[in-house]
Amino acid sequence: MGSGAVKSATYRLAVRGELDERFAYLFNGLDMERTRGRTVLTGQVIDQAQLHGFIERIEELGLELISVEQLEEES
Amino acid sequence: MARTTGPAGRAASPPLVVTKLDPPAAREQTVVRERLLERLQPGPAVRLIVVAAPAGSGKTTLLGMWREAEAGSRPVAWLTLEKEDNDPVVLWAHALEALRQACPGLGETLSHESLDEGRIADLMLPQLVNELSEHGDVVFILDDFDRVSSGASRDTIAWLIEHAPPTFHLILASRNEPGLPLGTLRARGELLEVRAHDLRFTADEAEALLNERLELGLARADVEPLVERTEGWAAGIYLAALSLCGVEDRGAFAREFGGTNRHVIDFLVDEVLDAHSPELRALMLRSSVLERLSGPLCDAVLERDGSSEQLVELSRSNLFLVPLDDRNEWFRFHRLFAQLLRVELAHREPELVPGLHRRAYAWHRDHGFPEQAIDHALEAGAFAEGTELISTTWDEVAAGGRQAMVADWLGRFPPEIVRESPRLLLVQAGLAPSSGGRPDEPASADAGLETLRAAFPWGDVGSGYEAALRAADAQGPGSPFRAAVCWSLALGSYNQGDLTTADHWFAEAAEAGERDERWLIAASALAYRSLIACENGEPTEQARLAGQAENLAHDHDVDRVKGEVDVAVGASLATGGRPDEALPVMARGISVLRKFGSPLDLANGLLCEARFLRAVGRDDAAASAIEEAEQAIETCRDPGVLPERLEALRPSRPSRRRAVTPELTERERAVLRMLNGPLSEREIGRELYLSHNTIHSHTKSIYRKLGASSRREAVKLARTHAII
Repeated sequence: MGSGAVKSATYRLAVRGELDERFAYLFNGLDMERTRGRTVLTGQVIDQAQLHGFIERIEELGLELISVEQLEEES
Repeated sequence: MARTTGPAGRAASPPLVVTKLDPPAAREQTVVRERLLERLQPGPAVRLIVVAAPAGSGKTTLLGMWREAEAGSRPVAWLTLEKEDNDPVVLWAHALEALRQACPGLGETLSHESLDEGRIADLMLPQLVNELSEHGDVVFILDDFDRVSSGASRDTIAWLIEHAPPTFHLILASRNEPGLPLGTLRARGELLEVRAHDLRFTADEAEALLNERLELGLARADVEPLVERTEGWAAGIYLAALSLCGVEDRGAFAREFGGTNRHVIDFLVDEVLDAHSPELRALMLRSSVLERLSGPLCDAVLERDGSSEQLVELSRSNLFLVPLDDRNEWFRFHRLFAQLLRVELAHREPELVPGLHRRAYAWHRDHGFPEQAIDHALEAGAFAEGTELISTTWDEVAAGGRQAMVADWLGRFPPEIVRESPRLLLVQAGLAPSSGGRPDEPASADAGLETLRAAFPWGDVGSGYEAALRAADAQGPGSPFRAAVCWSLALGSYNQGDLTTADHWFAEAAEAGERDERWLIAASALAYRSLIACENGEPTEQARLAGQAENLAHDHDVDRVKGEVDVAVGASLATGGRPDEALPVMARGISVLRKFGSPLDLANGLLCEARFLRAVGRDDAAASAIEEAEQAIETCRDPGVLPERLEALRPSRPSRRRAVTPELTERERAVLRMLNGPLSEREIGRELYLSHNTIHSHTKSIYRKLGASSRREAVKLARTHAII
C-alpha cells in the first residue's frame, strides 16, 4: 500500500471565520464558501504536497483549522 | 555575510546569515506581560521550554522581552531559524556562532572539520556538551522552530536536549508542536509548555496595550468585546488597534467589528490600510513583495523617493514592521502581516506585481544579493534573467550546503524552458550526483566532470562535441564552467583524431582547472596532454606532464580520475624504458576506468596499454586488451576515430578502408555547403549565427570525415559522395 502521495482527490477544508474572496488565490483552484461563521474551501487537490501547502498557508495566517476531509478520489 | 572556502571536494562552510543571530529589538508599544514572564521561570528539573502557538500569538515578542530581563544574570543566546537550517551543517554553523556570542570562549576546542559531512552527531555535539558543562548557566532560544521540519536537524536538537548538562536551558518557539520526544520529558517533569491558551491577551493586558502604550483612550467596555472577538489573539488585537488609530467613531467601529462574522484578519486589513496615509499605504502594500526592506531598495522598487524616512516613521507606529538592525537601515514585516499585505496587493493592484519583482531583481542583482535577485526574477517570470544569475551563482550556493535552494530555483522554471536551456541543464546535471536522495548531504564543489558526464551523451563523440561547442558559446572565460567546457572540447577533439586542437584545449582546461580548483579536470587534462606528447614522440614533455598530473591528483585526493592519470604515468614509465614498473601502474589506471570511465575513456586506456604490451612482446595480453577495447567501442553510438586507432593496432589483419559514405551532421552539411562558396570561415560564422571557433571545429571535423586536407579537396570529395 503506497503512501497515497500522488493521488489527486477532492478535499474540503474548513476554517473558522469568514474570509473574503481575495484570499482565494492562496488556495488556487479551490472554491470558497462563507457560511455561518466559517469558510469552507472545496476542490481538486493534486497531491499531498499541495494539500500540506494549503494547510501551511492556513497556519501562516493564524487561522483555526476546523476540519480536513477527503470527498472523493481520482481512480 | 562571511564567505569561506574549503579544500575542493569538501563542502565549504556555509556563509553565516548574521541577522538570524539578532534577538528582537525592544519596542515601545509592547506590553510587559508579567504573568507570562513569571511563568517562564521554570523549576530546576526543566530541561526544555516549548512555546507553541499559532502565528501572531506574540511568541517572539515575549521571548525577546524575557531575554532582555534575563541577559543581565546569565548568558542568553538567540537564533531565529530559517528553511535552510534543515541542513544540520547550516543549523549548527549558526548555532555555534550564537552560543559563542553569548558565551565568549565557548566552542574553542571545536574543530571546523567536525562541522563537515555530518560529523555533528558523533563528534561536535559531544564536544559541545563537554564545554557546556564547564560554563555555568546558559540559555539558548531558538525562534521559528517550525521552520526545521527535517529529521536530521531536529534529531541533533533532540540529542542535545537529552545529553546537555542541567545548566543548559533550551527554549523553542514554534507555530506547531515540535516533533521531539515531548511526552517523555513531560512525564519526567522536564518540560515546561507555554501554549496558545497561555498567550491569550487578558482584558487587563489588552487595556494596557491599547490605552497605555498606544494611547487610544478606549473605554473598558470597548476593550472587553474586542478581546472576546479576537479571542485574545495578539495579532488580532494589534490589528484592531492599528485600525482604531484612523477611526473617529470608535464605538461604531467596535460594534461593527463585534457584529460581523468576517474573520478578524479579513475585517481588519482593509481598516488598517485605510488608517494610513495613501503614501504609507502604497509603501506597505507594494513593499510586501520583499523579504527585507530598506529605504533605497523601496525607492527603487516603488520608483519614488523618501522611503527611508517613511520606513522609520512606520516602524514607530506599526509593530508589524520589525527593525532588523539598530541603524534603521533594514526592516521586515511580521510574516503574518506580510502575507495579509500580499493578499491585499493581489486584490487591489495585481497588475503591478511583476514590475515590482522585476525592479527588486535588478536592485538585488546590482547590490550583490544574487540569491534574492534570482528569487524575484523567478517571481516576475523573468526567466532569461533568472537563468543568467543562476548559472553564475549556483555552484557556490550548492557548495555551501544548499543544493535544495538551487533545486527549488530550477523547479520554478516551466519545464520546457529548462529543457531548452543548455545552461540550466548543466546546473541540473551538476546537482544530480549529490541530490540523489539525501538533500542534506553537502555537494561536491567540483561538479565539473560529473556535470559533463551527465549532460553530454556518454560514448557519443559527435554530439558530445557539439554539445560542448554549444556550451562554449554559452560560457565565457569568466564562467565557473570554463574548465569543464574546455576539457569537453579537448576530449572531443582527441577522440576525433585532432591532437593539436585537443592539446590546446587540454592546456586551457588544466589552467582553468587549477585556477578554479577543479582538480579532477586539471588532473585529467594534464594526463591526456602527457599521452598526446607520447604520440608526438616527445618523451621529456610526456614525463613532465605525467608527473604534474600525478602530483595534482595526489595532492587533491582525486582518486576517481586516477584512471587516465595512472595510464599516463604508466605510459611515461614505459617510454622511459621501465616497462616492469609501467604495466602495473597502467593496469591500475584501467581498472579505475572500468569503474568510473566512459567506454571511450576505457577504450583509449586499453589501446594505450595494448601498444606497450606489444612493445614488450606480450602479444596475448595485448590481444586481450584490444578485444576488450573493441567491446567497449561497440557500445558507443559514435566512437570517433577510436575504431581506426584500434585497427591500426591489429597486427595481422589487413587494414580495411572505410568505403562507406561519411556521416556528416546537419550542421556540418550546412557548413560544407557554404565552404563551397566565397565566404571565409568567419563570414560563414556570421551567416549561420555561430562563432568562428565553432565553424573552424566543424570544418576540421568535415575534413577528417572526408579524408580531405583542404577546403577545395573537401568540396571535391563531398561532390564525389553526393553530399552537396
